[in-house]
Amino acid sequence: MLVAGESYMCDDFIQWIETVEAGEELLANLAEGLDEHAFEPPLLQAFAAECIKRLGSASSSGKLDPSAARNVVNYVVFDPPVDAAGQRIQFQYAARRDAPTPGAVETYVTWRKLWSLIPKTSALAKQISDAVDDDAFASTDPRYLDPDEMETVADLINAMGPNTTGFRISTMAASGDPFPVWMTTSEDRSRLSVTNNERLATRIRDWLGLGFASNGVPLFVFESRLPLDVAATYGLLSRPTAFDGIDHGWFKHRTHSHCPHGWGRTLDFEPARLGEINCDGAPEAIAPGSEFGTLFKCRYVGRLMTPPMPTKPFVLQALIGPDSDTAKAKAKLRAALGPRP
Amino acid sequence: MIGLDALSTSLTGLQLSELVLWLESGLRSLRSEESAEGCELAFSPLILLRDQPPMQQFHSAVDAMPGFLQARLRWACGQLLGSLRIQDDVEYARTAWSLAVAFKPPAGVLPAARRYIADLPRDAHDFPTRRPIIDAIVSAVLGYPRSEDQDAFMADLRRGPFWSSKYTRQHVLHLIKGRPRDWISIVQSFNNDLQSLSNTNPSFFRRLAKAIGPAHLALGSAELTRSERLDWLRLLLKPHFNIWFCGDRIAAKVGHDSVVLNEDEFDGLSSDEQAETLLSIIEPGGSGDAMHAQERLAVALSDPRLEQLINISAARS
Repeated sequence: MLVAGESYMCDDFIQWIETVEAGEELLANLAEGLDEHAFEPPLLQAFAAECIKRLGSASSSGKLDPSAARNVVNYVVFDPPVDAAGQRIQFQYAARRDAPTPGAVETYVTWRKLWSLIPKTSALAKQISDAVDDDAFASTDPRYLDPDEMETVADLINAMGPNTTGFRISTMAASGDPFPVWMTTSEDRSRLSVTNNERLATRIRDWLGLGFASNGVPLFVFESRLPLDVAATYGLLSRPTAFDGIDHGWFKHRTHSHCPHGWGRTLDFEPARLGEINCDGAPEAIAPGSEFGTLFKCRYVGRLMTPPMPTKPFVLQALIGPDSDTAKAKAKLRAALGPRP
Repeated sequence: MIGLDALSTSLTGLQLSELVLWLESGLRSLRSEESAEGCELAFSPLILLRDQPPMQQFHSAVDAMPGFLQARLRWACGQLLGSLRIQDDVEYARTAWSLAVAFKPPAGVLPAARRYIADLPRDAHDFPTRRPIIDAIVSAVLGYPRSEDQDAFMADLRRGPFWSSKYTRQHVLHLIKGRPRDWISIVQSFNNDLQSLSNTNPSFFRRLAKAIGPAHLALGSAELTRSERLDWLRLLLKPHFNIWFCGDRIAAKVGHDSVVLNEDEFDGLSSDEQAETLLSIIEPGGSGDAMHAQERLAVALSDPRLEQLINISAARS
């Protein structure tokens, strides 16, 4: 039986996290974040203490299954505790970057995500509804969108989006804050030597590690017309850490190649599937989603041709190498959290 | 999204009735189409991403399941529809029917659709909230190949208080996708309803052209030109359809889909029909006179516009 308590925090935390869904991956990502000084040990300590407290409380009435336990851990980030001064501890956006984005940025969205962003009472929503097959809205299947209609959707967004009140590039959370947008740059894109729309969309999905986008799904991109300055990112432009990727099964903190702007790098499914050590994909950063306004334009990329990479065993292999275990990660975390007395 | 492997493992051991309950519980707990915030464990043990549409993630997870499990989920969806009651939450009912559009339950949806529609309150105040459910039911019913029962369902719905003009569009497209060769007769049987839609939804006619396909549009264009009743349709289809000579053959294109008619297809038409087809290329507005088609063609072939048309079409192709 695990008992919450300061002196046992380190081992308790690791033992708890090992029991949650995809816990090993989380431990590896936290250790990499510490190693890179993306966040400081006190933030990890606050996270560990709160995880132990909430998991202990949630399991007091019965055994938690690994998914429910993982969701408890995720909510430590989404609904954080307050510190001694009564301020909410912010786990998200922990690794801030003060400089503007190095160039124009891009964020990729599926058709359904795109539709979810458009205010349903707007003239833009009406125009898109008229232009798109009825089954695109009547079915839960995200694949329904006639190929001939996708470019029309992008054209309508570019024509009417800037004047559509409430049209943002991310949805709003219940807290009233916009959800983070995961963004990239077109840097290194020349490595993706594909021209066909479908192949390009699929390669970009893999290159960006978008594991939630399955085959057949139409992919769009929002491209900024200019680099984003600090104001446009609410001052929260950050290199993503394990806290930001807490509910992403395909998140990877470790980078092999240097990212010159202090950004992270996505998990590229193509080398990860092959068990390669270097699985670095595109540069990635996060910031709260702003209004579409005149800052962005929309483009249809293509329809995905294949399913995404499964998480197991490829994600953990990419994080710690095919022949290792998470012992090194645990040692790093123990050093940061303090040893068992 | 976390827990894809755990999901397949967890569902594999369930009885069909348990799978129905799992599906029902998941659909009932969804709070929004746009984000999974607050219902991350709707389809436990899958943990949904908060900022992505939940049903998109559900379908992605289903795609990752083994085929037998996907098939069982389709059966479970059919049973779920059978258990729907009119008292059920509107959003839950709509999502369940929308899922049926995607899943196409193997045993069909017509009995459940009939029962749900029959139980719907006739109170007009209730229409706006129920409309998305009826939309999904119609899409679910039309997700299957045409049958007499399906025709009867649509006819009954047409006579009842819940009909919407967009169901005409869906029905016509569905019938034509199943029998594109018969598109003229199908369109004629819905002529009045469709004509009344001509000012309201121009994109429908692009979809109609696509459903018919370039080959059948080319082969039917003679009849379309000949029929005064379909004059209105010819004008609305024309912007979505190109037809041109490709050497001594006829080529046609709708959207990104283009064909060169094979000689058998074209030779299968009577000489008058062949002439009318060619005329429909050079006389998109119709002839307006009573000359015999072949005589008009002879006149038209000396028209310099034909040469111009061939040049434009060659450049396009």
